[in-house]
Amino acid sequence: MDDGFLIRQVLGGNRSAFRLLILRYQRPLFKFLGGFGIEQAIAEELAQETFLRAYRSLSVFDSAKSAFSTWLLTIAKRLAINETRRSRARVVHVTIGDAATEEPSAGEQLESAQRSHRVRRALQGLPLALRSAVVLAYMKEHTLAEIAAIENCSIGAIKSRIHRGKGLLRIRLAGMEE
Amino acid sequence: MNVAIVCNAIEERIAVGHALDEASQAHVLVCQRCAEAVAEYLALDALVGDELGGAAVPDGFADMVMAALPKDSSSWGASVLERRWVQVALAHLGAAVALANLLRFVFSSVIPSASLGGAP
Repeated sequence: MDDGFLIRQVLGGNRSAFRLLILRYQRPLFKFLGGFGIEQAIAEELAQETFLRAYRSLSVFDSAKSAFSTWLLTIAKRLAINETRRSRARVVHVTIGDAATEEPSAGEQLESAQRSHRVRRALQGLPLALRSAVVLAYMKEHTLAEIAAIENCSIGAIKSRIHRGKGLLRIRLAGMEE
Repeated sequence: MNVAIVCNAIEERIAVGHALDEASQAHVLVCQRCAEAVAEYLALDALVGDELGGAAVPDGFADMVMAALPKDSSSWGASVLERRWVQVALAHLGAAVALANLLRFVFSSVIPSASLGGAP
């Protein structure tokens, strides 16, 4: 069953078809929100709001313009950016202490937690437009054209954002290791 | 072509994840800057790719969303108000009404009063 068929079913009154769309896209949506630096509880709220908005606006979705997944991530990206601007404090803070309390003797776990913490902090330090492009690129689920559609810019601009974003990420990670 | 431009172009292709053509690969073999960039981007991609697990999908998430959906299909109408052009049109309409009211007030009370020599 392709997305177009499911969407027509939903618009025709078959609500249960929307459940299949949720099941199909919940994973990439959560992956994007987590990668964006949204903490778990807020990610759940935003993911739900994304699907609710998609449901309410399904009649204006134009499959000729973009894929459903692209459209969905466009909604999620707007919500994620608004959330980040609204509450800069609401970012994931995996403290080394928390990670270490589970098994303090496991040096590898501590090192892994530190690495994870560094990567998340480095990602969260990127400007929003670069962060979004870099996270979408790392998800490896979308073509550059699709990412450009989500970001509402040209393919050339998206290449430049990914390049700049990864460049900044390298610098930030190198700075954290020193 | 300027070497720096070639290096930048190659670095962008590596960053974006595009394959390098034969000429670019040959360049990377003799250019220390590009060789370092390749190594650094490979390490970065491995590191971030591993860590980018994202948030976890909670159990029963789809059911939770389904339960929150509007009960009837009348909600399709609500989406009209969410269209950008409708919101812009309504905002302009509001501004026009406010301006008309202001002009009506100025012409009906302030100007006649001032022209008779009274305080506005």
